[in-house]
Amino acid sequence: MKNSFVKLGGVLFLVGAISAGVLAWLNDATSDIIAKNEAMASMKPEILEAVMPGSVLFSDYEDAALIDSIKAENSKFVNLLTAVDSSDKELGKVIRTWSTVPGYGGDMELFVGVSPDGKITGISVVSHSETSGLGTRTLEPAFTSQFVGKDAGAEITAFDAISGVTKSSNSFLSAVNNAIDIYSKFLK
Amino acid sequence: MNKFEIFKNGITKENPILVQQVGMCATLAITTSLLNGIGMGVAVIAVLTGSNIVISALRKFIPDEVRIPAFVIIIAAFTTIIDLLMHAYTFALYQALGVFIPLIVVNCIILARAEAFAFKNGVFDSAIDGLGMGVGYLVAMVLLSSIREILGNGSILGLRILPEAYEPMMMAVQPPGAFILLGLLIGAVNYLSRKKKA
Repeated sequence: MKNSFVKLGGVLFLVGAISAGVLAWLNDATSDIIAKNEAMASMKPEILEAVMPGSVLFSDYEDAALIDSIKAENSKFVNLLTAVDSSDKELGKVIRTWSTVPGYGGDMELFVGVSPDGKITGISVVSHSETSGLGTRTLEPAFTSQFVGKDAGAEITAFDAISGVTKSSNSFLSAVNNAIDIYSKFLK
Repeated sequence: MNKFEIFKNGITKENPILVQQVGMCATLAITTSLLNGIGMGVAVIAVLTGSNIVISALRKFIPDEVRIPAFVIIIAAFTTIIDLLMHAYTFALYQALGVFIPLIVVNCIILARAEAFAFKNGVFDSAIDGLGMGVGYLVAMVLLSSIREILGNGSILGLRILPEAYEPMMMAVQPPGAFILLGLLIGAVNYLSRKKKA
């Protein structure tokens, strides 16, 4: 009786252990690809296209120490990301930052894409509390496209604010300039 | 039974969906488009064939008393393998099928074939049986999901085939439509198979 328990338990243990071993190995082999798939699925295609045309994913910047040192110096900075295309080729850097000047409803949070040659590739608003229909006009390409192609190494002073939406426009600009500041100090 | 009969058995005489009517939950839920039906069918073929082979190979090693828990572990392992592979390499399909991939583990047809066939027959025969049952499952999934996609969406594999004037029959892609169309499909298969016998 005792022997049969040992045998039954032993067989089940072996079946379980081998299954677990195979699954552990496969999990290890696929976890990176799965993590990338999930990260890609969590990004809205329209944001990717607006910030860095052709990109499929913003992955974490490889140098975590640099991110920490930017954070220590710049309180509005959120994150630094690398924009990659479908073949994993780097297309440029993406700076995620808050505005330094509040808009009508508080700070705005932006993605600012910068190409390897130091030009702004696009901007997308991540979060904001501006008035719908007024402040939200700063989210539209009609406004954001004026920054595309600008040099990311020099502060932007002249721009076309939306008339009647000056406060939101200035808040938007301050976030762009904060990204430019981070770019010139740390990434240039 | 020769090898071809074992294979054919799963598609015609003992078709898991149209004749045995097991594993209906996933069948009814995911057959809203042909691509989903094919994806689910292929996933079931992989799990069924894989578990049949392993269970048959271990049938002399696993004592009768603990065979059911051992089957469950092996089937769960294969289901998890398919789940991980689909998550990594066919992500869009993985998202469309969602929870029904892990639920392959409770699909009765897999445990039924382990108990009724793989535990009593050789590895090669069991592989053919798993493949045949899996293909039978796939055929039924393809039939049902094609009908549902054409009626409910006017398209097949995402390509529109019915004219714009066709108003999609929403019920076909909803749960009640799944029951009704599956019932009609099984009725049609029964009618044809009886006519053949007579």
